[in-house]
Amino acid sequence: MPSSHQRAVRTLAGLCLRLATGWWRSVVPLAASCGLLATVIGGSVGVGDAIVDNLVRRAAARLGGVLAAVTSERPFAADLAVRIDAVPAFVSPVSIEATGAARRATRATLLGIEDCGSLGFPGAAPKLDRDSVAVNGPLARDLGVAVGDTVVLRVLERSAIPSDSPLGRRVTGSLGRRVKVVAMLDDSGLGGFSLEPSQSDEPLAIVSLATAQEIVRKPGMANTAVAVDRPPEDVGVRGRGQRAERSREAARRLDHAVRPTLRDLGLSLEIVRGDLARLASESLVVPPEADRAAEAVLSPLGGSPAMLFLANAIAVADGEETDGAAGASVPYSTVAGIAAAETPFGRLLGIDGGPLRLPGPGEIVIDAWMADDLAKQGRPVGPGSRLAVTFFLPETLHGRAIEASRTFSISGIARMEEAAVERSLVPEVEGITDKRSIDDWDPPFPFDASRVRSTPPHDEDDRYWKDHGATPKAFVSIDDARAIAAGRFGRTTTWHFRLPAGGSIEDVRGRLESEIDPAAMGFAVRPVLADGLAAARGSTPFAGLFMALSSFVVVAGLTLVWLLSRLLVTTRLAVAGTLAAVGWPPARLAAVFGGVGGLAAAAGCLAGAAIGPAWASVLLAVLARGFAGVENAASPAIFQPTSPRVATILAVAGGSFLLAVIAPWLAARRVSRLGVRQLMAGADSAAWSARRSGRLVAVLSAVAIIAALAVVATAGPVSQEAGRFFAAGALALLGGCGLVRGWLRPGAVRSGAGLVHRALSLHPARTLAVIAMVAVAEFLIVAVSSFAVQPPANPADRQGPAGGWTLMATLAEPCAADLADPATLESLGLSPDERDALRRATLLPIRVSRGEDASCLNLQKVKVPAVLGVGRAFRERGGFRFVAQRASDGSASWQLLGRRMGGSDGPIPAVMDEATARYALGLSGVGDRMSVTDDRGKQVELEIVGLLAPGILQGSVIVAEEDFLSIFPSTTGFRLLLAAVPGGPEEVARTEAAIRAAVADFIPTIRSCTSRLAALAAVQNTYLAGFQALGTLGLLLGTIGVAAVQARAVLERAGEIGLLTAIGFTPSRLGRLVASETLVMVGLGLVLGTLAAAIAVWPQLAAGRASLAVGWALAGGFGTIAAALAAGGIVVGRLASVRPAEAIRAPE
Amino acid sequence: MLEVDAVTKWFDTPAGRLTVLREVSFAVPAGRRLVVMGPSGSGKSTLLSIVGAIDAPSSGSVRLDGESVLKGSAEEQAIYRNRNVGFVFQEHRLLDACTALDNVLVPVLAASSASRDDVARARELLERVGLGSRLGHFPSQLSGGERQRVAVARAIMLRPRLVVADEPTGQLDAATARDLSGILAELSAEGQCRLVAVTHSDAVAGSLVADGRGEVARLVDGRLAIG
Repeated sequence: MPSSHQRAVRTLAGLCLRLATGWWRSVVPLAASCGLLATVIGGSVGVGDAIVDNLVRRAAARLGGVLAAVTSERPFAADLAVRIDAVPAFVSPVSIEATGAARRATRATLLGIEDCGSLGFPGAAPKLDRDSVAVNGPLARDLGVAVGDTVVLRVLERSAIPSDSPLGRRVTGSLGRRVKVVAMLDDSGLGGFSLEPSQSDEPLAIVSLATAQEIVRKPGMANTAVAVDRPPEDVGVRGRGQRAERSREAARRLDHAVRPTLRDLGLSLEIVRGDLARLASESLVVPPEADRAAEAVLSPLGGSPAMLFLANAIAVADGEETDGAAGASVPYSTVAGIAAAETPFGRLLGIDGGPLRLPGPGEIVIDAWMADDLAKQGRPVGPGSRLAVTFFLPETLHGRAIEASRTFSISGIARMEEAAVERSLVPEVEGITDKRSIDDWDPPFPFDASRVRSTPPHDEDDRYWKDHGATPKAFVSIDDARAIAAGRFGRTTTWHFRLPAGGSIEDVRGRLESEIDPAAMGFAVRPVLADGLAAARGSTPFAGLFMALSSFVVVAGLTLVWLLSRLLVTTRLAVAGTLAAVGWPPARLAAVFGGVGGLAAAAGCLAGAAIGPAWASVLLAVLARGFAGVENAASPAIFQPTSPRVATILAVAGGSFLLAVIAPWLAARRVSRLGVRQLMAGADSAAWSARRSGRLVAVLSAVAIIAALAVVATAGPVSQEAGRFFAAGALALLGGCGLVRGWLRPGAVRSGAGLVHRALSLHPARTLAVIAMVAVAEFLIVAVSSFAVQPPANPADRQGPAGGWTLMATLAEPCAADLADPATLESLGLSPDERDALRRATLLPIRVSRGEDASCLNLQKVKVPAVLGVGRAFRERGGFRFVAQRASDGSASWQLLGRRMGGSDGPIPAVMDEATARYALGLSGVGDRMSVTDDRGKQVELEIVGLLAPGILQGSVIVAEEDFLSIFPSTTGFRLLLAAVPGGPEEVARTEAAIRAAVADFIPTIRSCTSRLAALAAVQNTYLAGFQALGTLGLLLGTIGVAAVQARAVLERAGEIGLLTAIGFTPSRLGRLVASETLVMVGLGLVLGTLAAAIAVWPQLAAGRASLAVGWALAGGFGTIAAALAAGGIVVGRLASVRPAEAIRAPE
Repeated sequence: MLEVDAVTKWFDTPAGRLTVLREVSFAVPAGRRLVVMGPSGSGKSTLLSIVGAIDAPSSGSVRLDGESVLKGSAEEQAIYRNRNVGFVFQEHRLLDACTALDNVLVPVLAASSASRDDVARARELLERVGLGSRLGHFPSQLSGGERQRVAVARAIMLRPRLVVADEPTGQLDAATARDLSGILAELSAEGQCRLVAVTHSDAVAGSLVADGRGEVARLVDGRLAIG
C-alpha cells in the first residue's frame, strides 16, 4: 500500500478531497460539466477581451507617436504647425493609378510629410524625394505594384468658393503627379498610419510634404498638424492609459496654442489705399464666424459690411416685372448691398454732387454709367423708375444654378465718384475678376456670352469692364442684398474700414485673429490617440453579446451540473446515512457533500476557464473567417487571439464556480435534511422530489406558454426586441418542460412503450433535465439560424433592402455636379455611350456629413454617426421597407422627414436602419431622440420617425436635405450617389463605368447594392455562426446528459434488467427499450426546442425578417439523436455484460 | 445506566397500524452488556435505532445516565450520538474512498479536525484489533472480518458511553465472528461502556456474556424477555 495513504485525513477538507478522489467516476463528469460551463463563459469573455485588446493595440499602433492633431478643411501655412510645436502634414484622399499594363486604379489616403521619422513610428523611416512615394501593403496589393514601379497620384482640385454656390465650380478636375514607388511600408508600423479610428487595413501612400504641396498646388501649406511624442517600445495597458491622458493634454495644448492667421482661414485683410482697408474671403462670402468677429472688431472702427451679388441682368421694368431680356437691360453686373449712405470707401453722390440717401427696402441706386446706357438703349430712367434685377439664388439645386428676379425702384443715380467707383467692393473671383476682357470670362454658372456687348461699336460692357472691372453698377440696402444673396455660407462679401490714427493694419489683423474661433472655421483639434483608444474600448460589446447568447448554453450546462450533482449524492445516500449515524450533524453532512461537489466544481471551473481562451479562439476564427474579404469590414487581425490574462481566467473561474457550486450545494443541503434511517436505507431519490400538485404544474405551464405568446404578440420598442425574444423563448421552454413534467407520471405497464414511459417516469426530474438541455440547445440553434440573412430575391424591388437601387458610389471628395444635367455631362468630357448610360439610369445624389459608419461592419464605438441628407426626389421616390414609423399624421414614411414636430424649434425628424438604432446608437425606437453636433458646435436634437428594415443604408442617420443643410451649412456637394439601372448586368457595368468616369476626380468607390448587402449579411451571418457554435456546444451538453442518465439507469435498474433477462427479454429487446428511452428524451427535447424557437421568433417570422431554419432544426435533431444513440449504444453494451443472476442479487 | 422504559414503536402503513415494539423495558448499567436475540422482523433493529437515538419511540423513554436521549433537534441528537454512542452495523458501512485509519477517524471529523492524539488513538485502536499493518488499506482491500474490526474501532474511537451493535458478525464465518465478538466485548468493557448488541448467533451471544458481565434477552412479537 502506498505510504501516502497512511497519512490520516484529519480535516473536513481532507475528507472531502479523499472522497472526491475515491468517487472520481462521479466527480469527473461533474467537474467536466462545470468545466464546459466555465469554458463557455470564458470563451465569451475571451472574445470580447481579444477584440478590444486588438482594437486598442491597433488604435495605438496606427498613430505611432501621434497624440493629437489639428486638421482643417482649408490648407493653412505649414509654419502654423511649427509655431505650435507640431509636425505639418498633408492628409488627403487620393486616387492612385498604376502605370503598368493593368493600369489599375484605387483609392487611398495620401500623407505628405517632410520626415517620415517625425511621426514616432518604430523602425527605419523611408527617405522620400520629390518624385518618390512609399506605399503600404494593402495599396501595393490593390494596385499590384512593387518597388521601382511608377504610379500616378491624383487629388481633386478644390475650389475656394463653395461648389454649392452659383460662383463655385462643380467640376474642377484633378491634379496629378507621376511618382516612383521607392519603399514598401511596414503595415504594423508606419504603413498602418491613420488619424481616423480605422479597423480595416486602409491603403496608404506617403510622399514628401513638398511633393504633396506641389500636387495640390499649395506651396508652403499643410492641412494637418500633429503633436508627436515618441512612445516607449512596449506600451502596456497601464501605459496606454497614461498615453491617452497625454493625448488629451496635447490636444488641450494645441487647442490653446493654435491661432491661425487670417490667411490660414482664407481671409484677406489689406490696405486698399491710404487708410482704407478691406476684409474679404477667398470663398467670396465671409464665413459667418469671421463675419461675427469682424462685427466685433471692425464695427467699433467704423467698419461697414457689404453684400454683393451678381445680377445676370438689370432691365427696365415697364410697370410690371419682366425677365429683363426683351427690353433695355444691362447684363452681368454686380450689385452691392451697403449698410450706410456714408461708407468708409466714400459716399454715393448724386448727379448734382449731393449725397444720396441709403436705398430703402425695394429701392436701388444705379450709377450714372448704367443710367446713360439705358438711355442710349432708348429707355431713360430716373428716380421712381422700376428695374427688374435677375440673379441666381445663393445655392444651387444639385449643381444647377436657379435664376430668380426682383423689381426695385430707382431712388437715385450716382455719379461715377467715390463709392460708385469702388473696385475693392468686389472680392476676387477666379475666372471672372482676373480676366482682362469680359469675353474671357470662364464662369461656373450658365453664362450667355451673346448678351454681353463686347464688339464695337456696341462694346459698352467690355469698355466698362476695362475701365471699372467688376465694380458694382447698382446699390441696394444690405438687407435687400442679403435677402437675395445671403445663405448658409455667409451674408457679407467684404468689410471696409479706415485705420484709426496711429493704428496699423497688423493691430487689426491681430485682433481679428484673436476674435475668431478657429473651431468654427473648420479647424478641428482632436486627441486622436485618446479618441481612438476610447472608440476601441467602447467597441461592440462582444463579451456581453456572446454571454447573452451563451446564457441558454449556461442554463443547459447548469442543468447538467445539477443532474450530475444529484447523481453524485443519490448514489451515496448510504454513506450519508453512516455519517449521520455516527453523529455527523446535518450542517457538517451538507458540508462534506457540498465540499466534494465544490471541489469538482472548482477543479472543473479552473480547467474550463483555462480552456476558455481556446474556445474563444474558435469563436474568433469563426468571426475572422466571416469578416475576411468583406470590404471596409474589420481586418482579420482584429480577431487574432490574444494572450489570456491570468486575472481574467481567475475571474471566469470564480464566476463560473459561484454558478456551478449552487447545484452541489443544493443537493448536499437536501441530503442533510433526510432522516438518518432514510439515508441508511439509501432512500430512493423519488423521496427527494417535492410532491407538486399535477394540476398546479399544468396550470403554471399553460400560463407560461400563454405568457410567451403574449410577449411575442405585444408590440414594443425595437430596443426591447431582444428582451422579448429571450423572455418568450424562456417562457415557452418553461411551459413546455412543465407539460412534459406532467406527462412523466408512472402509469400501468401494458406494452414496451409503457415500459419506456415507466422508466422515464421513475426519475422525472432527471428525465426532465435531459429533455430541457436538449430543448435549450435546439432552441438556440433553430432560433439563431432563423435570423440568417439571405440575399434579396429581387434586388430591384423598391421595398427590398436595396430600395430598388443598383449601384452606390461613395465619393472621398464632395461633388456638386448634377449628373442628370446634359450640359454638366458635356462638360465632364464623357463619351456619348457614357452619357447615354447615365441618362438611362436614375441617379440621386445624397449629402453625407463627416461621420463614422455605424453599421455592423464597424466594430468600434460610434461617436459621431454619419448623417445623410436626402432630397425631395429621394423622398418622393420612396423605397425600402419601414418596420416602424411615427403614425401621428398618416404620412407616407419618407414624407415624415423634413416635418418637424413642434415647429422650427422641434427636433429634426430622422430615419435609420433598425440595427443602427438598436446596436450602434443604443436607441429604443420611434420617438427616441439623439443629438448631433452641428457645424457651429451646438447640439441639434433628432427624433426617430421611422426605422428601416436592414438594407444598404445601414450605418447612417437619414434626414431631409433641408434639415441636413441647417445642421451642416458648411458642407458642400454630395458624397453618395445612388443609381437605379434598368437592364441586365451589361447595362449595370456600362453605367458603373460611366459613373466612374463622371466622378473620377472625386475619388469614388463604386459597388453594387447587392455586394453591399452581401457584406452586411456576411457579417451578420458570421455572428450567427458563432451562436450556432454555442448551440452545438449545448447539444453536446445534452448528449452528455443523456449518456450520464442512461449509464446511471443501468446501475440503478440492474436488478430489474436482470429480472427481465431472466424471464426471457433478449439483449436486443432490452437494447431497443433503452434506445427508445433515449429517443423519447431527445425527441421531446428537440420538438420542445423547435416549438419554443418558433414562438420566440414569431414576430420576425411574421414580418418576413426571419425564416424558420427547418434545415438547421433537422440537422441539429439528427445530430443529437445520432450522438444520443451512440451514448445509448454504450449503455446497451453494458447491459450485455449484466448477468441475470448477478443483477437479480444487486442491492439497488 | 442505560434505562429503556416502556418503549413502544408502531408504524402507520396502508394496511393499518403495525406495532413493532411493545412496552419494552430494560436497563444496562455501566460496563455491562445486553445481547438481544430474536427472529427476523421481531423489531431488534428498530429497538437498536431507538436506543442509539437514530429513531424515536412512539411512546416510552430512553435515558442514558439519567439524560433523555430523545430530546432536541436533529443537530443536537447528532451531537449526542457522536459523543455518546458508537455504532457497529451488520454491513461494515465504511467509506470506500477512505483508508482504515481515515474510517476510524470519521467520528472525530463530525465535530472538528483530528488532533495528533486522535490519530494516535485511531492507530492504537487499529493495532488492538489486529490491523496495525493495514492502516492505509481501503475497505475494498480488507476481508469482511477486517472491515468489521475497523468498524468496531470506529465505534470505540470517541470513548462512547454506549455501543450499539446490529448483527456485527452477521456476514462473518463462525471463527471470525467469535474473534470479533471478543474484541467487541473487550473494547466495550473499557471506560464502563454499555453494549447493546443484536445477533442471531447463540455462539456470539454466549461469547459476549461469557465473562458474566452481560445478559441475553429475547425479543418476540415486540416484547422483550430477559434471561
